[in-house]
Amino acid sequence: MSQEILIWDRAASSLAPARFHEDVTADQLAEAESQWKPFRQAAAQRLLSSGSTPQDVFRLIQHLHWDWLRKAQPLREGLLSVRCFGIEAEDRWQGLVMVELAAHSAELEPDRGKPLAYVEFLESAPWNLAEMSDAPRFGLIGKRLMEAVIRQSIEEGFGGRVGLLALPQAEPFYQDCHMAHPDGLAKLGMNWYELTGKNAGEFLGERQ
Amino acid sequence: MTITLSNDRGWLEQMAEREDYGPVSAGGLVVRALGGDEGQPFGRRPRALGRLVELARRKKGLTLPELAEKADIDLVEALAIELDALSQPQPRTLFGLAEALGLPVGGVMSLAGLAQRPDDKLAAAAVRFAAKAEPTARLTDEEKEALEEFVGVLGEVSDGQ
Repeated sequence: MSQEILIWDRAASSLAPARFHEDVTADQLAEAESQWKPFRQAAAQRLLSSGSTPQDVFRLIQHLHWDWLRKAQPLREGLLSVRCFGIEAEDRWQGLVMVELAAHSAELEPDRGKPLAYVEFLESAPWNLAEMSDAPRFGLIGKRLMEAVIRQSIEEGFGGRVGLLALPQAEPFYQDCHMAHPDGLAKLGMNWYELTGKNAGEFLGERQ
Repeated sequence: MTITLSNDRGWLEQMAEREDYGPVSAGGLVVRALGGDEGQPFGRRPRALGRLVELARRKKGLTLPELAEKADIDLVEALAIELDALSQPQPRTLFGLAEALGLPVGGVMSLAGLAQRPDDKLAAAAVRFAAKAEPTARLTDEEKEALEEFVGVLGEVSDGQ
């Protein structure tokens, strides 16, 4: 199942068509990895060659070496509580998000304890990121993926509630998505961010 | 179950005005993969394996890209092994690294948790070693000593397998 959506074409400074896929498969995840890997390898090489320390480079790309086989495991197992969405444009995967719908609950009042859509991972293709590319190709990838997660949360009856662990350098993005970080809630160095039902409405502009 | 995304141009253009092409990654999956909430901060505290690879590489005067090429592994993977406490390298990768750096293959596998037999002596030596190594450009005398002692323990583990 897929539909045409709009993303932001940076070079043209205008909205551009893309395909939103609702049921990304494990094979498609592997396909995305094969498309993204050479680009991030080249970016790491370029950064090291330009004098960045290994520590600096790793800080920038620390999320990019995550085990893709492990990522695909819930899809291979056919877990009904897990969905993977993807955005495709120019015959390449531009972003992916995996969401879990059965095992997590809200931490923020007034929804504390109520179910939410939990983001297992969310990533944009490396050529869309300023840290990886001097001329990022597409914008709005992260926002459109977050919109998908929120709409899935609403569809599940969770009121648009979303929770996730943000990579430290991605926290400004999630703050811009109207998400809040309850003090002290962190796991493995990543802070917990949560979108309340009310803020989900604000993110969506309450116009749809 | 189907969801429908909005194609409201006004709303999208409003969001595009704030687009900074910055990082967007979220990753609870890595936490679940570890099976719990406790542990080392993500990407903050390299293990003994990372220290070993870093010091052995520096001793040979190799840059990370040179090591990756010599070991026939991805550069990002080499970075992860040196710097990420949660890195889970494959046996092929460890074999390549051990060969490229002249380290005992069996000992490196044990250190990475890929060998069958747990080894208390190796575990204790790994803790001592990780505590001594510092990420400076040249090996200090103390680092050289720590590396040699630790490689000696690795060799004993390899011989015992």
